[in-house]
Amino acid sequence: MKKLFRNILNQFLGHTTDGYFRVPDTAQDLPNPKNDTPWAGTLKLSMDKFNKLTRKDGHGSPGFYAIIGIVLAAITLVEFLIFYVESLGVLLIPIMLVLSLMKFVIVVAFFMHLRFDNRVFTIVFFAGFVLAVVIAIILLLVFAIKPVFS
Amino acid sequence: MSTVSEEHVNSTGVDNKKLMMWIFLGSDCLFFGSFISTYLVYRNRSLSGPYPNEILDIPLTTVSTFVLLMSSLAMVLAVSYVQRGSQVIGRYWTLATALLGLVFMGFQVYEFSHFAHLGLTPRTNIFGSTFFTMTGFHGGHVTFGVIWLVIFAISRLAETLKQKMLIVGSVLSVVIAMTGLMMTHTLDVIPHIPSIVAYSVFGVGLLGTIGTLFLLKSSDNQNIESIKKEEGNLELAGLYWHFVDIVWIVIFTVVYLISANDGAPLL
Repeated sequence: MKKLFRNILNQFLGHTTDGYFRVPDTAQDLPNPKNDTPWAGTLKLSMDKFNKLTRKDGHGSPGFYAIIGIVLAAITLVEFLIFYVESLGVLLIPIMLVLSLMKFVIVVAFFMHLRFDNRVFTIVFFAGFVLAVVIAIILLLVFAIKPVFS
Repeated sequence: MSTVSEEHVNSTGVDNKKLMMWIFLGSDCLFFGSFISTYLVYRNRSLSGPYPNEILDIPLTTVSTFVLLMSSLAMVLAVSYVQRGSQVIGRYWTLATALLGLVFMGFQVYEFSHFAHLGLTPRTNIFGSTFFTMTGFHGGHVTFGVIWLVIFAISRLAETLKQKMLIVGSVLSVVIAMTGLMMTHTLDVIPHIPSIVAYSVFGVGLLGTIGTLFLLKSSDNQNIESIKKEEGNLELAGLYWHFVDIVWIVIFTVVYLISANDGAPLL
């Protein structure tokens, strides 16, 4: 873990581990620069680590699932606490929707294995899901334009 | 009795059963999507009470949501352990999932009866109609899932008759313990039950649960081959169970957290 943080810091600062800043003498010294993504490759490095962690043997380990379960419980607790913050007003609705979407995606991706599984399943499921959301939005718009009790 | 390796070669390159389950879940999204959007369309349109802000109990429903989330965790652990060849642990987690599903149903039964006492039924107002239809169908899905998991644990994950009987015994013991627990809480309401009877029923159920689970563990035959055959079928049950969980995640947000402060409509 310490090595990972040092690596990220080094990449972020463009610093080599031998105590010198990496300054190329000529353009040819860096023919295929590894760190040409935003934030000097930190994002890419983190994503690579994440992909490696979540794609181990095609499935997560029991410990990994336990961590996901703790994250889900924590999000539910946050939702419960935010519900009693009265100063939020109308902001409560988008915050709650984002939090529930996070839980939805976490369960579908990891517990239902869509992240590890064939892409066909993702397409089939989200075809139905997106259709349901679109129909719901259209229905709400129709009734918002012409209320039933006018 | 089929795993991916025994399936016929097909053009999709994936397990047919699993694809069928995902197609079903996609269509079930539309099923519940229609209920949730109907609820939202008729939100704040009840002409008489009780209104959501008078009866919805957020702390209680947060606990039941937590229980259902943990049942999802138990389910994924059951599938994970069976795929790793741990028969007895997979069987325990499957039973734990069914048990947590039962607890969630207990919460829902309590909530429905409590609402009925407060005067909210499907006939009372448009909130009652949409609320009971949506949560009722979700409860039906949970009940079906619990039955599926218990039958699976008995008929597929257990090989010998002794194991099957022990699983039936453990589920019955849990139900007896829950009944005893409920009786201890209703002693002031139903004075005809002596308290010693209520606590005895709870104790018998608890001892039965611990005893049957212990015997189940000691009767393990570690036949990994037989259990490996069932991992695909258990995964299907798992997909269904997780879907029931994500539907509740949406219902909890839309009906409880967002609509809990709704009162009489502003006409």
